[in-house]
Amino acid sequence: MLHAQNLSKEYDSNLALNCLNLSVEAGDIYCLLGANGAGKSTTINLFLNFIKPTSGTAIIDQMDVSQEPLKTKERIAYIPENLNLYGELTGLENLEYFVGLSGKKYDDGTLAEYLKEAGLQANVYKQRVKSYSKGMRQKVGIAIALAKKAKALLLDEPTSGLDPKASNEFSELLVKLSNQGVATLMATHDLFRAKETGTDIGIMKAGVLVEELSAEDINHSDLEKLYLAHMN
Amino acid sequence: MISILTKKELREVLRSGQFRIAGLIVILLTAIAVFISTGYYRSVQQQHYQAQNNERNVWESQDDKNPHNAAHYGTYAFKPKYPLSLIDQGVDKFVGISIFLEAHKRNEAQYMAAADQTGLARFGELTPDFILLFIIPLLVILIGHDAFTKERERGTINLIKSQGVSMRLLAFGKWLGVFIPIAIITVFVFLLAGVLLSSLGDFGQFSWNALLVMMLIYLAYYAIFACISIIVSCLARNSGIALVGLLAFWIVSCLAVPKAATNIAETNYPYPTKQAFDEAVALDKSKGLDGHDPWSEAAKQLEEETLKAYNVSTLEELPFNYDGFRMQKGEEHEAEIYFKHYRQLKEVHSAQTSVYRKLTVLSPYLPVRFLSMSLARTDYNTHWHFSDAAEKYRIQLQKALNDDFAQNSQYGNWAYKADKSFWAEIPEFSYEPPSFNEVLGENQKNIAVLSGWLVLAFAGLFISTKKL
Amino acid sequence: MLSLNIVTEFRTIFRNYWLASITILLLSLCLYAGNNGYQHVTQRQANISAALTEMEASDRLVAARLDSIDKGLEISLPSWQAPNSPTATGDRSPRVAAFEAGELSLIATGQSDMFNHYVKPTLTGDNFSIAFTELTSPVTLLMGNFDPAFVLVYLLPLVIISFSYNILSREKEQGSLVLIASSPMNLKLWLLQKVMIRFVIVAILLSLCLLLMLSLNGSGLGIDTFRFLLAVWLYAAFWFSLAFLINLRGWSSAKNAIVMLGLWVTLVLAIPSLISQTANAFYPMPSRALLINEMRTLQAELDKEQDKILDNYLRNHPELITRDADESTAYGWWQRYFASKDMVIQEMTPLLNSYDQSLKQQQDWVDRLSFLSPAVLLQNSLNHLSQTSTAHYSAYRTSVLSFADEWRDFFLPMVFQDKPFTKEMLDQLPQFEFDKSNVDSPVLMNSIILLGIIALLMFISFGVKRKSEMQSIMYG
Repeated sequence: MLHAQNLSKEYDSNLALNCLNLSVEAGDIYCLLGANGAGKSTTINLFLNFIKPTSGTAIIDQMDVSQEPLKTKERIAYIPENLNLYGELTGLENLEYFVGLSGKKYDDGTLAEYLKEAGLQANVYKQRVKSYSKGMRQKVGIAIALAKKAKALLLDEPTSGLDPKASNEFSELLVKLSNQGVATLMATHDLFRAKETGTDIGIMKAGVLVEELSAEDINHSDLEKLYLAHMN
Repeated sequence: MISILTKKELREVLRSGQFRIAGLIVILLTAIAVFISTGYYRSVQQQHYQAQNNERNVWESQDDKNPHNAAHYGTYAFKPKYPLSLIDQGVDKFVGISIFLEAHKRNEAQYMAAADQTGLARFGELTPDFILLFIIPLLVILIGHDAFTKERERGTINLIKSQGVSMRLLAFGKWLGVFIPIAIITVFVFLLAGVLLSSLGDFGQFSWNALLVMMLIYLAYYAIFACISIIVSCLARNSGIALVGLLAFWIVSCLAVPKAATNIAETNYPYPTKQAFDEAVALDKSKGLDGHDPWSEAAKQLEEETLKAYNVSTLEELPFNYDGFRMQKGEEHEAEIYFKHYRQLKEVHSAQTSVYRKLTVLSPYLPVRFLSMSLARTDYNTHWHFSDAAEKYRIQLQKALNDDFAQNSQYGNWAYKADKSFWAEIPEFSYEPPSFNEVLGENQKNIAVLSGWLVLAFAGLFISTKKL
Repeated sequence: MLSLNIVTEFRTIFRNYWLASITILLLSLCLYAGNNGYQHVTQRQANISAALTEMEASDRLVAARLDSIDKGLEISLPSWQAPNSPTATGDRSPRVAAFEAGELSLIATGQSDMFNHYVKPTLTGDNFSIAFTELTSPVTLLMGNFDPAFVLVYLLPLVIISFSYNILSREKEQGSLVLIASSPMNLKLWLLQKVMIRFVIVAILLSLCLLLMLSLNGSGLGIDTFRFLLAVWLYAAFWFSLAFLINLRGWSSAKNAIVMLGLWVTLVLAIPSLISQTANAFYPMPSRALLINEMRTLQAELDKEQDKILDNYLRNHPELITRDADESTAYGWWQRYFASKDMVIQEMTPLLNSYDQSLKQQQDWVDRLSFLSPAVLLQNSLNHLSQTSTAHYSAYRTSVLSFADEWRDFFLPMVFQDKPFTKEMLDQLPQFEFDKSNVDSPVLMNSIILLGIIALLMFISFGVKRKSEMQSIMYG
């Protein structure tokens, strides 16, 4: 579903991403680990066409992102570290708007269904989003992905700053989505959750993917050792 | 302590691209404005000298002529320009440049420059006063608006607070950081103007005192704006709000309040129309003595009184030409009427002025505007002063001419002609503007209001930073 | 996407205080300024009608006196003031040549505070000395008026800037932009829609405020009202398209605000004053002081040659010669007076024309450069619509001067041929009429130029492809 082919990105002669190759298939949850500035967000932004690659291609569903920016965006959903919605609108209205921007239109009942599926409590649907906690807003993000019927999910540190319970709920939702065949690429600092939730793990350093392994093949403490070894 | 704080602020300001670009633009605009104004000023000054000399020439080279014919022929008084008008053109564009001095009539100054310009001139012109009054306060706002909001947005404010520095001292340091660069630009501009003005010979008397006081007034003006910028920056949630708020203050004080004041003044204390004013004067004149009309009631009364006073029975027996005497009496009567009507006009003017003065509470721009014009001798009061001096000269001129007629001819001898040497004997019109001390005296209220603003602005700075 | 955007924008806008505050602000500004304009116009009309009433009263008196003279009765006036003398009537019963306010005069004070709105040209007065400037305090001229034009030209852009400087940057700063940008749609089109929705809100609100202002002050609806609104809409559209272009740069809200305000200062304050300054510098007015000199020297010369002047004058005006008169004796003081006046005027005409010429050149220069500032374009249009433009006053002046000639031509033959003014002539007196429709309207041209500027801004926004555009919008 998501493929990076020799993907490189240079900022003012600074190589942020160096010849990245990776693929995330339907049902995979691929976790990208790495220090700040390792190139995780750059990778995700390249898939979103927020930035243009210096060389190489980002491919979503067999389409080059920079050739078909709109068509590829129809297939993905994105949740950033801080999902900021319109404070003056309710959760339901926010959902209606963002889903609407993808060209999909649902009645309020269906939208409420999606919010419910994303784990949001029914009594807050019609409250303005400025009263939401971060966890609640991230759930609206998931609801957007659900309603959009996204085939791939791009997540940029979605759980940082969430309390463990909210974080856990979020991971469960990811697993549920991956069971429905959604491909997920998630940048994260959370080694524990990467091992728990992810199917594949990649470790990045200075723009290079230095390690790629299956989550099943490694336990928590070995993953931490491996990670720290790469960082030094 | 304060030097550390100020040094940091100054470094930040001077290194910011915003200040560099804006400062450069302001200096460039000032240079253009000074250049254009100097050229304009010199040509106008030269034209006035030339016109004045020519006019005197025309006056002196009159032939033998009846003095009263010469009185009707009249002469012109030209309004001089003063050195500081190079910095502040004030209302010069909106008042006439010369007054025609003739028998029986006080004329308004003619030919205001604005009437000879396109409607666009009403937008204002790129002159030094435009930059000093409008643009530099904007520069102050530009560098001052984010003094505190920036610290808050970057999160450095908590770091600063944790060092145990007094917030008031910090605010004062920030104030200095805004004020010092502006003060440097201002002092530089005024010094440049001073050097320029004292080196140009044909600019008339130039006084450093007036220039320095003018500079202090502008510095006070910028100090007020700097205080308000810091206060708003301290209270506002973010830089954008601070900027919008300060801009609103700028608009209100520099544009909206002065314009609203105009409307209030014009609605409550309207000037009469030119026609109505002239007609009111004509009506009053027709009720009294007309030197040309020996048949009117007033003329007959004067005749009787004069005969009685000199104890003679016919006009021919008087020791002077009664025609000339009557002319002079008529002239005096008319001068009184003009005096009365112009006094009424002045009353309207001072009522209007009081409207502007009341609104200075909302606008530090107003007292500065009026003070600056006064010091440059380009305000409305100077124009009145000139107009009154010209009227005084006109009355003296008429008296000299009528006296000559009365003393040197017989009653009924309208063929009498004064010798052409007589014209040169009449002194030339010369005008001295109000002195520097007089100007300061007239402007006590404006100075008080400006000082009030300054004190309040600093008090506001002191109080608002308490909450930090 | 459009309907979705409209619904969402309305929801956001209605739920914060912005719409309420902008409505109150616009409404109070328009009503206050409209009232000021109305006061100004009312004063002007009151002055004119007072003058007309007085003229009618004086005409009745003149008619009564002429009646008495016809019947051979004594009147209580010296002979030189008696209305059967053409010089007396020509001087003492002038017509009020009035410039009445138009339907929309309240929207822009323009030049109306500087020039007067009625004059009374007389027989012995000359065109040269008719005063067209009003007796106004120069301080009020300097400060200007708080009229609707001020609100529209100066303040409206600021309201628009405050409403549009952060449309995109705000989304970016609060973090919703990434979500928007990850949606499958054109970001520019999305932004354009948001800008246009705001434009429509402002345009409707403003139109309502302005219509209310006009109707409260007794102006009817007409084609000019529509032209007025159109000019205002275009001006508002210009500022919104500028905001669109600036928002697309992807800068922070603070930077957007500073750039937009910088543009405001440049377009509304700096460029107009620069244009007017250069007009003065390139097409300087000949010195009025030297004009006085010129006229005085001429007068001095003419004084010495009175008789020769009369000869010349009559050679040019044979119709004024009384057949039986011996020229050297038949003509008295008045005849010489008019002859010499005419001479002065003729000699001075080229010089006087040079002022009109310079003013025209300045105006042309200003018109040519007005495209540099939409503020100038709008101000010119508003001045024209309210009939307070320089062109209107200059047309009024021309019209008055030609009426003054007509007035003199009516009386002069009587003066030269020593005929009395009779009661029948009262009805034949020349009447002043000022046809304002001859003044060229810049409104259409200005609107087209403004439309062109807006199109240019749109072209720059859409047509000029920048490298990695998305990146620069997202990351500045």
